[in-house]
Amino acid sequence: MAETSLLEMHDINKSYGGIHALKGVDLDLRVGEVLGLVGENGAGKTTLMKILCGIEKPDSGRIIVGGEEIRIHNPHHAQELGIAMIPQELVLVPEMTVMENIFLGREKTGSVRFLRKNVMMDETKRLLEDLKCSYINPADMVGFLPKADQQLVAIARRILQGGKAFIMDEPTAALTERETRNLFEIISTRLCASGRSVIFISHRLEEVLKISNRICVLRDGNLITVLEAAADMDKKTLIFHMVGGEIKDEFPKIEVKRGKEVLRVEDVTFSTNQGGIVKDINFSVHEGEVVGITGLVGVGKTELGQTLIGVRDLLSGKFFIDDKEVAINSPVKAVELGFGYVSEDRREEGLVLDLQSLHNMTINSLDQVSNRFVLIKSRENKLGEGIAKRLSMKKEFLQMEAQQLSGGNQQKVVVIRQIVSNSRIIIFDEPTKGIDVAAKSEVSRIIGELSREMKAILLLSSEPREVLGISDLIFVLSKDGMEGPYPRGTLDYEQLMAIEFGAHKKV
Amino acid sequence: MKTGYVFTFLRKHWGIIATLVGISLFFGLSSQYFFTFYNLLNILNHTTITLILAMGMVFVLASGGIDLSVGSTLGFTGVATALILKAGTPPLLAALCGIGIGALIGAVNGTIIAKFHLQPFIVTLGMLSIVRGLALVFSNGKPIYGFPGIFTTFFAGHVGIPTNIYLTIAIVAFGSIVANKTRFGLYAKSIGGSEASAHICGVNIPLIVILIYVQSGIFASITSFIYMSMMDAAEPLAGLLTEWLEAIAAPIIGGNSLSGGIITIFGTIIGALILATVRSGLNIFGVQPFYQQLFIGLIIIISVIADSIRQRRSRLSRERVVT
Repeated sequence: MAETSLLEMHDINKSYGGIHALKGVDLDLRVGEVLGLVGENGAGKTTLMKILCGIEKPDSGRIIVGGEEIRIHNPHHAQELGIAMIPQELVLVPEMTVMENIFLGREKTGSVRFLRKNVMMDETKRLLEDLKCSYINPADMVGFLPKADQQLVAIARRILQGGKAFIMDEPTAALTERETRNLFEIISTRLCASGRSVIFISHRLEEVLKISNRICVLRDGNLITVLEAAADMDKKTLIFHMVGGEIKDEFPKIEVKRGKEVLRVEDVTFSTNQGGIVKDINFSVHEGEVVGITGLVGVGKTELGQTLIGVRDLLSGKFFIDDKEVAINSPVKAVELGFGYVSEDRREEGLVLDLQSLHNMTINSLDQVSNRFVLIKSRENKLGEGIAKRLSMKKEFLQMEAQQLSGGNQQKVVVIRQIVSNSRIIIFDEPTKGIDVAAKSEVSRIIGELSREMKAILLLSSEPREVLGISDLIFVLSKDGMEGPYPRGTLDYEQLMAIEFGAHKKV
Repeated sequence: MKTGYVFTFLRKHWGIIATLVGISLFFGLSSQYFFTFYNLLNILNHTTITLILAMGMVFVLASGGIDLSVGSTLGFTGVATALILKAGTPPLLAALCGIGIGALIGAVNGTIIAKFHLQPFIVTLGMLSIVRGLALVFSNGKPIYGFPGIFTTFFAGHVGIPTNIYLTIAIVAFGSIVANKTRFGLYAKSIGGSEASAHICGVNIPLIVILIYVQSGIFASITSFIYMSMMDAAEPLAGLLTEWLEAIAAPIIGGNSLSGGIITIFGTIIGALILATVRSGLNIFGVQPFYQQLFIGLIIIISVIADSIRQRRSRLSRERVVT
């Protein structure tokens, strides 16, 4: 293997608001290698790759491509430099054919500027043959191809565009085992053998270990280590580097004695956004109890929440509330049954940004602040005062428009909404995602307050510390199914990570 | 290979072909006047305005947009061209001016949509009102009469069959070539299908969007020439009724999608024929024009529902392939 670098990143820094997402990260990609990139959620992998693809600009640092220092202006510029991103959610035009997708932007035209379809068809065939997938018909519509084939089309397009450094973000998430093997073979025999390189980002550590020549580990925005020798490369070492040591008390817990069972889920099966199927999920939630379900991003936690509130189809299985079987086929029905839902995407789905935070808090429970016809301002204000007092918050906070608040405070508003409402079962999807440490512990405290009111709480989170910190019971969802329950205190961080990555059976 | 092509073609379009045949048979069996040369020619004649407008609209729809202003553009370019003709300008030059005005209106639409990332619906809705206002202002609200014979003969004369049918055939052929044989057609589809994909592949999205609306404006102005030649008058209120609705409805009936990504010229032709056939049949039955408007509205809504069902189905079958 050649030791020359295809591209180098030096001392890259990037902050979002107050959060230092990347702290002086170095990375180099050599010609013809596969570089694994691992780290837990929020470690900075995505940010680093966005910078490389020209989607984000670094605050400081240098990027060198082919020996020349370069500022990457935009994604198209990155593409011209040979940086070829294959994102997890593929960007293809579903209504167009394989050939049209591959040649998009670089069509071949004849003398009168008409498209030369036959020429492009032949070249597409050659390209697909080269990738050992001549079974794909260039004239087929891309939208009807299986995910694995769509991915190959995306790779073929990048090759045609002159891609040299391929960045693959969770490329195997939607693939079967056979398709994964096939992809690996293409990576090693078709991409790397011809001098192209691959940055392979994945949560599936076995796969990273199998395909990578070297592995970079990121943690909290720092490059922790680059593993090179095959002897260093095992799952245990990787997890050790990913986790580090320190655990802070970011997530305070309020102890509550649990009451009777409210929700029971039996043998529930549903599909994920990536097209996978999650089978036979069983658990129950009691009054005053926080049940945490964790697992890697994309494993189906959000989809589980959506199934519970009737947004996503239940493929099979049963729901019981107070030991009575119920059918939840729409969000309206879910609300009637006492479900409250705090979505992962607070800006899009949670908040009305132009409204004051107080109005945002009471929007689910207008019967409490109105008579039959009109809203009663004084009742609403009184309710707000009560909340502010109980959670020791400033009153001005209630009067501000939601869009003026920081992400952390916005999140507090949507969580408080659940305190005001009468829901009995509250589902939180990534409640502390993207907010700073102080707000995180604040949100956790409010969740604790909710459990004190004997509400049943289901916490869906890919933040292991949060789950370990505030759940009474922990379940771990992985591609092999759901493990648990682990009662509070029986798991530590490293064990939890091992289960998430499917390593505990061997460790 | 060739038979396979015919087969997939029929499979894709059998629904609307059957609808057209069914409607024709129904009217044909109910009335002896329907299947006459004169009536069929009349249907084709009425299809021309819808079809030319629709040739611009299919590209707008393919890009995920909509152009509500084509009816007003038709009205205004008619008035403007009439005034230019009345001023003694040679017909060819006057027509070119009219086309230029149509292109300009389209360019304004496209530029606002592309540069400010606005909803095409709102932008062209605003333009609908502005341009209609201009038509009323310039004409003082009154029709303008009396054009050179060569102008009216070219756009609505009679050489065996009405000349506007020849013109329409030429424009449809042009549209079909642009849709299937050029980058422009492909890029229009890619913008509606996945703008992100078009963007990362280096498609100049603003330029394409502007050109799409320019093309729509040009076709609207050509339609206005036919319209004013047929009436021998430039009406400031021309294109106010169902003309622009049908220009959107014909592509949708024919299988173009409101959410973009698709162009089918053949479907659009059939869609326009269905609309014209229904109109003609209702005429023969002596149904009042008021009811005709009602029927056209119903057909539009039915076709939009069909479009959304089609969308859902194709999405479902895609998901099924994935799992």
